[in-house]
Amino acid sequence: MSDTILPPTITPAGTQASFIKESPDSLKGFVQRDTQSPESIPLTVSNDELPPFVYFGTIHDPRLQIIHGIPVDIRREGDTYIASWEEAEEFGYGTDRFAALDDFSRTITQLFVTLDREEDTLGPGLVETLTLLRQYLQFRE
Amino acid sequence: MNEAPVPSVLAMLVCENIIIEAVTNKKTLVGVFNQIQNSQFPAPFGPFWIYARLADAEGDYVLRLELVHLETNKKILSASGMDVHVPNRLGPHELSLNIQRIFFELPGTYEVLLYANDVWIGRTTVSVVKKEQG
Repeated sequence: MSDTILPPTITPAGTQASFIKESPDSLKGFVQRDTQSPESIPLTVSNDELPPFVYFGTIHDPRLQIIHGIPVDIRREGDTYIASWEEAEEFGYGTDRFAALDDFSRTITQLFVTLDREEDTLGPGLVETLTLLRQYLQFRE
Repeated sequence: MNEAPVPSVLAMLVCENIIIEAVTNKKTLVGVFNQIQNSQFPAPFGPFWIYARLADAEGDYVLRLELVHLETNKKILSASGMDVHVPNRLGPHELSLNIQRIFFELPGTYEVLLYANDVWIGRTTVSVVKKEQG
């Protein structure tokens, strides 16, 4: 039996960033791209609330890809968070902001896959919805 | 100018250290974790690393990282201005972010959110748990 020696493999360095606390109220950040020297980057320590709006760009279905960030509003009604894409009239619900966004992701995935599959049989309203979805989502090549 | 495509996040992990091999740039993630225990709050913590591997990226991006307390929806850290250029979408792009020290004000779930050109592309979570003394 002979030993197999793998040749060395090289991967791009990518981007590296460091955040250094200089004093109780200030952090300092540096970013290093590939082999370049580190540069200082803006860094804030805040107590702000997240805005009630996000450009949504994460989808779990490996068959799909987001082309543009989907404009999603997030609001709270009682104990429920609601993520809504008003133009498409699609919603996601959850017990926190990110559960609502996860539900939204599943909803639009299912809708897009179903409408795409049934395209030949759709009425005008759903054709319009599919056209809108195709501005933001596509199947991977 | 064409708009840069929205990247996909293949992996996003929080770990104690990342060893970057000098010649090959290969990265070894050490001590991947998702829970921190502390008996006192605010709880100081660090250093630690956040690693993300992106696919489908090509072109110019401004990346932003936010650390958010999920229960209160409050940001505790925002790092912006990480502008990167990815020459080829066929190759992955890796981010290795080192945070020296931060303070978790409250127990709970903290979300690490990653944005590319203001589009939210990925998240991971860390639970911060109050450890009872005794």
